[in-house]
Amino acid sequence: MKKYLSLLLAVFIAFGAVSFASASNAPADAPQSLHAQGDPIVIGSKDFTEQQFLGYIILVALEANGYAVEDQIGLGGTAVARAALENGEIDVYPNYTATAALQSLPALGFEIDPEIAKDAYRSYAAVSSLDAAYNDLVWLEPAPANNTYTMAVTREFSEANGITDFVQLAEWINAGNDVRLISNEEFTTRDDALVTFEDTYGFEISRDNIESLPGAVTSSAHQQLASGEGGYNIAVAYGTDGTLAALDLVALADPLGAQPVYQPTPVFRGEVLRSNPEIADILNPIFRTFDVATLQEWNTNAALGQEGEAQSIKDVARAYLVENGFISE
Amino acid sequence: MLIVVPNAQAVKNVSFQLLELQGDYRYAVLFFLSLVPMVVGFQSNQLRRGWLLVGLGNLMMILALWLPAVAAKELLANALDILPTDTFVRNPRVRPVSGVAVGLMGGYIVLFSGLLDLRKAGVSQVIRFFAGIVGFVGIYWLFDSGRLDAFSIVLEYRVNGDNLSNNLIKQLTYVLVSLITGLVIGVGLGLWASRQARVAPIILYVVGIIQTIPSLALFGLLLVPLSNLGRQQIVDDMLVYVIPALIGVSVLFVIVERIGKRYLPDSLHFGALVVLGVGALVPFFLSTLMVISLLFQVSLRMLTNGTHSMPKTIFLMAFVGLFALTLLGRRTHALRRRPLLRRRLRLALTVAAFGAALVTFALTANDYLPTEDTFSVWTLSDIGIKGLGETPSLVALSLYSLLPLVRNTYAGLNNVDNAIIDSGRGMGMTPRQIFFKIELPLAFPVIMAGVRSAAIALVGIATIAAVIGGGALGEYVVEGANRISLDLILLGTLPAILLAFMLDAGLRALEAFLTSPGIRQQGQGGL
Repeated sequence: MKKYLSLLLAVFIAFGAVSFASASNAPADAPQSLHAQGDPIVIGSKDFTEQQFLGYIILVALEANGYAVEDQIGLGGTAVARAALENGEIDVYPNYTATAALQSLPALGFEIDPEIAKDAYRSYAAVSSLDAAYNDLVWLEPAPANNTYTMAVTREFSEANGITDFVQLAEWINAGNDVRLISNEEFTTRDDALVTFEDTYGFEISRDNIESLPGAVTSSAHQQLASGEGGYNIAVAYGTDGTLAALDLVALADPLGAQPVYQPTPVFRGEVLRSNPEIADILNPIFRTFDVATLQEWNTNAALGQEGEAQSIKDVARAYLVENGFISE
Repeated sequence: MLIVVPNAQAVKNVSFQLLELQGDYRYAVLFFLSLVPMVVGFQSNQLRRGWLLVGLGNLMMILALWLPAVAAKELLANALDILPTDTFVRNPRVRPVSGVAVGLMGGYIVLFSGLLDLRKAGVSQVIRFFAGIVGFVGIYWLFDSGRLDAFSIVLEYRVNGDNLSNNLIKQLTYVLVSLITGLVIGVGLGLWASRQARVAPIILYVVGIIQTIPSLALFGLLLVPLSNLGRQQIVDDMLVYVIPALIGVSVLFVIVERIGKRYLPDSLHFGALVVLGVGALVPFFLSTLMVISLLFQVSLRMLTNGTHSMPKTIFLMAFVGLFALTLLGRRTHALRRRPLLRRRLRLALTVAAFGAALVTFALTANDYLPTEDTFSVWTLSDIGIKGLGETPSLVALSLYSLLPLVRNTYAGLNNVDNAIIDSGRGMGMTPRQIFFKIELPLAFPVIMAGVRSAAIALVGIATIAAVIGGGALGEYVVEGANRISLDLILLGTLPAILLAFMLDAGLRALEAFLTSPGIRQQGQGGL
């Protein structure tokens, strides 16, 4: 009896496993479109929160308007994303005006005066015309927000010392207070970042008092600053960083305009826009709504989910478009 | 211990020891429960002790997750009162840390010792199997019914995990396809190295260098050429060039190898071989690229699409049948007494499994590949060769798998005792017989060790694919690292660890199955 029982059990297990596997297989995504069903528009972005949020804004908006889209959001850094766009691997990704002016275009041999990059209008005119003429890349309308380099302090620190902009910070440092900066490598080493602030506002932070984290990510620096560990009192930041609000940090204002202007703008391959000219009319009104406050708020939402509901970045992007009436549910 | 975290990225948090939670004596119960196994340990009846321990172990594992989850829900409901007023509270979450893990592990140890007792007491394997999985089924039920939703990693799964199973399969496909590629190339190179002492240092050196190239740099280097390559038409540009080049190079190689050995001076012969080898790289690389890309695309579709369920079901049935047969074959009298039936059954099941797998592959490929009239307009990007995504990831992964494979093949073949080979020669074996009957079986365990270490390493490295848009589990790890979201990182890491364990176990089973019986006995104490 026992021997048949085990055999029966074996069959039972086999059957169970198979039905389980086929059940879990059933809702798998529909067969991906293979070929010749109209090439989808490939949407890319770099790999930090704001880029992913803007990437999904483009993706969701185009999808809602009936375009076939493909998701390449979250590529590793400017080098990969820009090369992918230039080589037609992706069709669009949100560029920043100053990044193109100071990094991507010089890499192709076009030198742009750093002073131009500090002026929103001239900077946009320069990069969009160069890209259109030489790379067949079309810049749509830029968002009014400026996601530039800045520095952040904790709210307690800001209130205790009355510091909200770089002029006040410079006074405080020059009064002989101990400053400890938690930075990232790019901010410390680029010619247009920390050095520009020091030159413009006339202060200097000794390199011994700077701790540089690798790469260009700021959230780990913010975590360090907010945790109070290591005795840091300033951290590197981007103007529209979502972590600032999340960790209750204050971004310092740049009243003298030390920094170039980084306006996020969807940049398309010309070919794609020529065959789908109405895309510009879909995306331009959306990007017009992104000012600094809006982007800060929604970057926070993208990183943490909206109040009361943890969400993926794509869902947050959809929520933004619905809330502002660009798409229906 | 539980940690209440105010939002997905925060560092400030409030932690609780479970035993500290006021008015909550359930954890004391759990604590005392964990003391019970020691008492039970004094019970001398093996069978009774075994059952008691199994029951306790299962109970501890379930409770170690469930009780904190209940507490976590209560904590979350009062999160605003618990967290300091100056923190930014947005979708707070509870992160289970060390205590919960220790509880789980303790439960597992108790369970395992109970199972050991049961085995000694002679309880059948099937019953032990079911006794052993009760706890895991319980945990799955807790998870499925949403009772663990207060935990941060479960929350992260609910938010970002809708693609988790597909990403897991993609990770597995990455590992398997690049492992197969690495195996073909690596074993070939290792074989070459072991045959020609002069080539060996060059090959090992090159393979070692490849291992040191940072993957990001590799992606950057590959993007533009792969992207250009993807625009080439398959029929017009590629086949016309690659196939003749491949044939030409191979023919030349054989000619130089066979005839050159006899007529050319030694150094010239060697030089010619090296030049040919380097010249063969380009067409060889291109054709490999086309093959692995196609292999990957078709396998991924085969594994993730719901179509062709019939052959898939047959495959799974046969596979599970084989497993059950191996598991039960030794225990069941009906099968043990009739080895012929067992062997035939095994053969039939194996054939069915492989047949079904082949049929599924062919059917998927048939869906995917073009019909005759569209074939002429296909470019390489249509079989997946692009500057972004899967192809660069596959190239990188295949390259990274080479070092352990080449090294172990070389070492395994080189360390075969010459006396054994000589005795084979003395018995009148041909070189081919010596290779297949002596060298290969003896080197096999070493080669398999290389395959295993390559596979495990690849599971980890494959997460880097996300950087270049290749997807898979790296999506969670890379995004989590950028956002400093511990829970998101874990969501990618835990499945990867699980995958590595499963791959290792699978490859070990394969090794045990394929190793020649004579060696198996010698090597039992080994790895």
